[in-house]
Amino acid sequence: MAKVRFTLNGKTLEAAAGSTILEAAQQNGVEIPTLCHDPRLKPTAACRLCLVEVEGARGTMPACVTSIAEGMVVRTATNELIKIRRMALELLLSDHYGDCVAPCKLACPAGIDVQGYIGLIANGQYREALKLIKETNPLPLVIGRVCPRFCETECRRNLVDEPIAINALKRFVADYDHSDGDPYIPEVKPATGHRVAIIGGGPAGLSAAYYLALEGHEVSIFESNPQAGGMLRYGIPEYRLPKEVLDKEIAIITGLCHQINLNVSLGKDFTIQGLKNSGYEAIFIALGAQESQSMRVEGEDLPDVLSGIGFLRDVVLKKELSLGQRLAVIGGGNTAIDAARTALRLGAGEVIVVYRRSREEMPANAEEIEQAKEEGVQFHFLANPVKIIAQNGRVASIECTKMALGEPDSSGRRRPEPIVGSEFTMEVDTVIAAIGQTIDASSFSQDGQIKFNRRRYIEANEETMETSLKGVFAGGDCVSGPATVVEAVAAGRRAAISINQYLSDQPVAPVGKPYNCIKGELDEIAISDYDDVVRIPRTKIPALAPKERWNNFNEIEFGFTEEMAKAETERCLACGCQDVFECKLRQLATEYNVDGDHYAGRKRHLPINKDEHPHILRDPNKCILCGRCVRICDEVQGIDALGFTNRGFDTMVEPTLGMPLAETRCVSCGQCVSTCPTGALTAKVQLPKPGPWKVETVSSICPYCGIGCNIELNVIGDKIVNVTSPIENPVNNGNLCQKGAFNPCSIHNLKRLRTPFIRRNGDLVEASWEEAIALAGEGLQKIRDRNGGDKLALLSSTQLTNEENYLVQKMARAALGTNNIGCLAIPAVDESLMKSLGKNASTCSYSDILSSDLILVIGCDITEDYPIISLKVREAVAKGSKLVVINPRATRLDSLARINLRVNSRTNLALLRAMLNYVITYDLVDRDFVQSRTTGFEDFAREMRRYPLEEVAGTFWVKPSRIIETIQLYAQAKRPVIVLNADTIKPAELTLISDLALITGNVGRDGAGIIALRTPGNAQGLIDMGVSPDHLPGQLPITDVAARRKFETTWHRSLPLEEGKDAIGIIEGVKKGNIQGILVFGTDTAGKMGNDIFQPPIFSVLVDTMLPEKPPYPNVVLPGANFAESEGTYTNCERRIQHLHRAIHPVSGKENWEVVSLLASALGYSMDYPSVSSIFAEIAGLVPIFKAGVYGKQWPFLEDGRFASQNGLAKFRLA
Amino acid sequence: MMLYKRDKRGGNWVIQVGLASCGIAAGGRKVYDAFSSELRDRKLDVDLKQTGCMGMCYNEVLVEVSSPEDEHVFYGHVTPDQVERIVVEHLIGGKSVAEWVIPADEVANLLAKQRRIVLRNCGTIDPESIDDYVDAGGYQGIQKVLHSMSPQEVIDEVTESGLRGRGGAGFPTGVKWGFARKSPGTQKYVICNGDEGDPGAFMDRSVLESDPHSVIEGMLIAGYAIGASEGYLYVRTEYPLAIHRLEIALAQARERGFIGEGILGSNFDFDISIRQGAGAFVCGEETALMMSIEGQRGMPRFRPPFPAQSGLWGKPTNINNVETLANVAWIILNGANAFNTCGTDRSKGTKVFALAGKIAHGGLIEVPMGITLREIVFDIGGGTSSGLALKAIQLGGPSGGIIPASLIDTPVDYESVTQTGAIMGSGGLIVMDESACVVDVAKFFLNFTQDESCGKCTFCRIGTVRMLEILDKITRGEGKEGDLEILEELAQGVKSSSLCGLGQTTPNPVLTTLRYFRSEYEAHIYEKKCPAKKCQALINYEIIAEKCPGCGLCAKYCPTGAISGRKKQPYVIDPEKCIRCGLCNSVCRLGAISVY
Repeated sequence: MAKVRFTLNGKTLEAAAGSTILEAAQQNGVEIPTLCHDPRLKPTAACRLCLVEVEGARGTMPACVTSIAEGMVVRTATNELIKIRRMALELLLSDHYGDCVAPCKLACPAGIDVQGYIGLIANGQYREALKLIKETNPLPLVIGRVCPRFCETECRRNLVDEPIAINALKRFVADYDHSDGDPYIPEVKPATGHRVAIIGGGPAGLSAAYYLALEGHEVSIFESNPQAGGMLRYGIPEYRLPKEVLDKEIAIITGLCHQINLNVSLGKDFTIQGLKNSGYEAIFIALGAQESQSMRVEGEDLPDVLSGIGFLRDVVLKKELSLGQRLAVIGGGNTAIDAARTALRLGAGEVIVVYRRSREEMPANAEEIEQAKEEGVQFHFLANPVKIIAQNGRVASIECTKMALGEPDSSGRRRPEPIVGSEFTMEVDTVIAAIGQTIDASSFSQDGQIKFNRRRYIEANEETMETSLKGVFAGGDCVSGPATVVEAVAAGRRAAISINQYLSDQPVAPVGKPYNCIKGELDEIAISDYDDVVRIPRTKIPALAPKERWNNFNEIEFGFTEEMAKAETERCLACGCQDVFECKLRQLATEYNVDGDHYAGRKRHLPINKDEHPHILRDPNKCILCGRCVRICDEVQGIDALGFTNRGFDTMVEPTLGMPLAETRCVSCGQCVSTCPTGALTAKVQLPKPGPWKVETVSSICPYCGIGCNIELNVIGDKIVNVTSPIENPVNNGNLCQKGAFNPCSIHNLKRLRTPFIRRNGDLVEASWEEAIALAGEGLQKIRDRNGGDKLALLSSTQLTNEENYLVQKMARAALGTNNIGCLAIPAVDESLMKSLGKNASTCSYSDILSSDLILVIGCDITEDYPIISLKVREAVAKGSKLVVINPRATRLDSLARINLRVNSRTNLALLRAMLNYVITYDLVDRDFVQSRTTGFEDFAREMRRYPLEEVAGTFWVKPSRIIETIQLYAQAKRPVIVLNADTIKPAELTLISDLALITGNVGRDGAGIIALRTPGNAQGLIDMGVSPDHLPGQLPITDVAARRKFETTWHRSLPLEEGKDAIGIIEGVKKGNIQGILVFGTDTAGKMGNDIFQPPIFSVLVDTMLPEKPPYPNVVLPGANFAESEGTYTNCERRIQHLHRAIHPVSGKENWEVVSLLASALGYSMDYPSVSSIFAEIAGLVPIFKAGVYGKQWPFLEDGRFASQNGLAKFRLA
Repeated sequence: MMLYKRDKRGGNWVIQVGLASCGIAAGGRKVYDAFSSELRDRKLDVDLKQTGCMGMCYNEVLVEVSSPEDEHVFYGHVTPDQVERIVVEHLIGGKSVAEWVIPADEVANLLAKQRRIVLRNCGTIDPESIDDYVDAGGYQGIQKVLHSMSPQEVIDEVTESGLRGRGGAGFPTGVKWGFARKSPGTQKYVICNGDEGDPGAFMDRSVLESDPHSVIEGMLIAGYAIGASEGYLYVRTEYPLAIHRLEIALAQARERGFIGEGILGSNFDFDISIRQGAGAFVCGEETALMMSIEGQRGMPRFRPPFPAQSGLWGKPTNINNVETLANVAWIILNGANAFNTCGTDRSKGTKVFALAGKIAHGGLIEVPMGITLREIVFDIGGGTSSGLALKAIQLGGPSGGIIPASLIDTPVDYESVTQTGAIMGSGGLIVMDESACVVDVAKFFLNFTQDESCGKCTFCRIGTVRMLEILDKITRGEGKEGDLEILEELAQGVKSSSLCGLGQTTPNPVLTTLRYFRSEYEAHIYEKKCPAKKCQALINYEIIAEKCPGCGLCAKYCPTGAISGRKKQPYVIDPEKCIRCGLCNSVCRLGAISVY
């Protein structure tokens, strides 16, 4: 291909001539941003993001439409261009109404993907949910119990009824994970050899340790207490967080660490410098804030005045405590409440919480305050102690001032101010001061260099956790002051990221925050948006009744049952955008660091019709008017179901005539979804909750017809979320039809067979694999040994992979000793192409349609049956190819056709004969071709002379001139392609079509030929793999002695010689009693044939994905795997051998090839393969055209330019 | 005095009534009918004719009476009840009705600086009569071309004339034709762009209504030159009279063999059909216009390819606007030199302007290129209609710019006008006096263009709306520091990065007002004042007690009852109730209302 040289950002480069600037840059690895371009579409230059500078041009140029030219000087990233792109993005975002991620995730300090894990719980994927949680929070057992739940405050469900019980759901999966004693332990990366010291085994330290250990670093924890856990252990009472639970979670983390040193204190037993000296390259300080703050009142030093945190720790350490009968707890935080409730449990007679503000301002969790009240804790608000009065050296009472609330202070809460002269006293004998905690600075006496901030906490960068010392990081309460567990976890994780960067010699930098579009704060959202949401009350978390909590420390809350959890997940509104992980707008907004509010103005807020289409969800609020959907529907599909309406700012994309999309001409191909760069068009997920999740993309092949479209199954765990298709693929260029785009997602809805069944007394009963396989083997073996292999038969399936079909026929021939091999999906294989042209397959490629100058579609409505091929025809016609359609009925391609021959299918043969006669009579014969590449012409020509067009013209109801025009077009075309449906065409017709191609020299050469399309997924592969009564793999006749010998050598068995029965013969054989045992694969069986083949006394074995619905039942039913559960190859209708990868585990635990191996073994024939690829290697060894390395490629129709017949010539045949 | 020297027919009296849309709207048909019945009743042998636009819109209904001695008198503001007296006194009595006649010197002033090429037949011939057109020398251009010129010679002649596209961009017409001619292909098209959508502009409408054949002839010559056989007249549906007269003209031309197969015995075939645009402003953009003809939503596409390479249905297409095409036959007949001796170095010929706004003599004029704005506004237009000082001139429609009075001596040619930040555009010229608030004016034009955006490209669709929102805020008194900077930033972005000409020129009114009247914007934002006292949120009304005699007229008119008082004592306005409609000010004859 011709090349042009051009300069791109100062570099001289080359690109294919005729490329646009965008493509030329892409060819050289430079991405120019665009939102409105899709390589499948004509460029439109609407989004204005691809503007570039071209030297000499007036103004900027859109790269998507401007052709590259020799010597062009292009700049793609000048400051001016970046400014323009930012402006474009900011303008788009100024009218973008939606939430990129749900507010719950944004509210979570640890950034847990709440919507994601709730969705997974809804889908029953508890392990996946836990994994997702643990990506940002290693302590779900703990946090699931003690989190203050910032997420629930922001939950949009607050606008409907009550927030989702998010934390209870987290606890549910965490508890579930531990319920079977096999908790999830993530994979650890290979050891890096770097050593990290973590000072403090509290939540921050444990989190950092977890994530650093996973990176492969050697982590050591230094903990001053006898056990790790920090405040989790010594601050949170047992009834909220049982130590046993805490221990489980800590055990997982310490299990990943190198060592944990207990009872060692910084400053006492070691120093930071000392750690460095002993080889720790990075140190994370997470000491917490464990010192109580002083009340600064008289009498504070009395023995009965305890600190809240000290009190709680002493309780855990089981120290002797003598509490009085009337106890005051000073403070309003969680520690105060914990202390009060603990004191009550320890037997204190009366506990009064004294707090200087009112209930509304209390920082403690509302629910815990409530529970404390239930348990009998009293509250005295708006009072502040000024003095503790002693009597006999013991506390006797406290003197308090009444307080009033003034103006709000810096925390936003109203400031308490003492009311002068309002002093009063309360008689108490014990005081617990829980007014706050601080850091123990004495730890650092020997490490003087570390800096502290004004509040006397360690100074550390908020984002990276770096301290003033190189390699020393700090986080958690010792940096932030007392905060929540989840904040400590977040700090620990952020520190781990920084430390990992530091250790791997990357610059320590905050993790980039993706751009987030938000609808607004809770009070800014229109409640009417949720009018259609069904009100469902929040699932109550089961808990001990207040009276059951008396005098014990049993855990109060029980957590959800599975049913409760599922029910609760149903309430989730799934606020975050479905497209968040793929959205191009978000990616570019992040890359260009834009401010979405820079041009803030009126945003359009449009209603969403969730029910307008079964597969497609349109959210016009996220539409950026790039028009890709409109254009793909028109330009590629020719459907025009979408269009622009209105003008200016109010321009919208809407379905035709404003109808619901499903009521337009929409064919549900999903192309609009595939091209939409944002979340404006998304595929409805066929799972209880839609995610979104970061999916694993597994490449596969669409099994729903023989075209062999390349698809990508996007998988989370064992669920297919949606289907996409890679644009760069030679078969379907990213285009799909409804079946490919949406059917794979619904496979989870099927009632799958999971275990073997055997027939007992006319009914099917569950059985073990061993039992079922043994029974199957025994039954078939008996018939083989007594009556011979020809009394056995095998029916295979076009859904099986090449490898599986190869094994199936191998088992039939080598183990069962029969050639009775057939397939009900193609009951009688039409071998006309093989007889005329050497192989039973298309002679040319789909791509030849695009380069053709004439397309002859015979006897099918390909738009209906093979939509993707019809797209190619459409594209070819747009490029200038001529189209002729020969079909009795109207087809959707008719409007594009030069000629439509509406010939009754009964007269097809007459038409073909007349056409051939015309070619011979008027000498349109390609003499050279006929002479050098074919045999049998003379006899054939003589016969055809008997059918002059003139004699039959009257029978067609078509003007003879149109027929002649068709022949002339075909004979004169340079690259004509015939497209036909091999499933429905009659053998005689196919024979004459081959003759027509031969006589005009339009087959067996570049660009010209016949494309024979087949409906079942791997029909071509089944033919190629020898699922045939008379052909071995490679379409080699069983009569071919040399070939047979080769197979016999490799298979170590002599093969049956006589031709077997095909599917029709087998069915007949069953009826006549010639067949006594049958082995059947696949779902294309029972439906078509009735269940006759399973009628006793025939011994039958079925391998299928679902149980037969009604009797008669087979003797043995073995669960089969579907395409998504299978690894292997399919061969499409252009002979392309394509890889499908296993996306999910087979529900039965076994792939089909493994089942076949088991069956073969049971028949006394070993067919052990280490892997699927080793099966293909065996095929490639036996059949040269499948030689290794053909994945993704086509096997050759011609061998060295010769037809695959013995003399290398094609053959004219009469029909 | 006459607009155009014409052959007299039979020595009769001739009465011509201006019946373009403007004349009809002013009641011209009734005047025509009145003359008709008066003449019939009195059995007078007088030629009563309809004609098109005479250019003096401010005087509609216009009637021209020409005596057998070739003396011409114009009557302005004619009503049906005046007809009898005109007939009796002027036609029978031989003496014009002096008090209704437009003074001859006024007409002379109007015409003195004009040069009528495009408008050569406007207001003189009957637009529904092909004979009138032919009598005036019509269809001689196409005859000349077919009989004595090769297509290339035609293109050379037009190129040499220096004619540039009058649609606004000013691309040399001959060069454009040359491109279309050179483009390979057997099927080519000529399109006449009659989708005139600028508020305040009516040049094309007037030409189509007054002289449709000149445009048809221009298309024929263009078709011959580029090798096209089909033409489309794209006219907006809001111009029913133009469409009606074009239909008549096409039928007549077809009947006479000026269009159709083998025109005038040559082997040149050309046919023309009318396509009505449904009122989308953007369809005046040529690529959108072609999509509209093709039956699709009118959305511009990026050029290249230019229409000359790939236009209508992908075929080479030449698009010219009405005024450009109306020049063509004249150039062919009179020669390139006759045209290019008029005008300036780079802008040849004449330009038609629609004078509107606060101008004394609003109407349709045609002037040689290079004439100054001062000459147009004051010498031809008679200055402002209000008597207030001239503040600014909006040139080029909503895509144009606002030129301050200080630049009144700017010569009107493509380059000079562009230098001011405005554009020549299609020729809308709106005069503003001191009572105009430029922020409000900029908002008006922006509101129009943002509403007319096709919605395709980001900058035009959203950027213009954000600009409008800022202007709106400013006029509501909610402007704040930084607004002008964002406004300017957006204006520059929209101008530099929009896809088509519509978007690229939308910010012009904002940019030019910011350039020439920034202090007025700042007064709105920082002082919360509208210097022109236009923006309601920024002005207050008060009654000056000393001047108020207590007549109560203002209180009677006040729609919200904000004015109260007792007779013969000064009234007062309640600022809470006042909606600043200004009615009080307009009814008070004593100047007792102060606006501040």
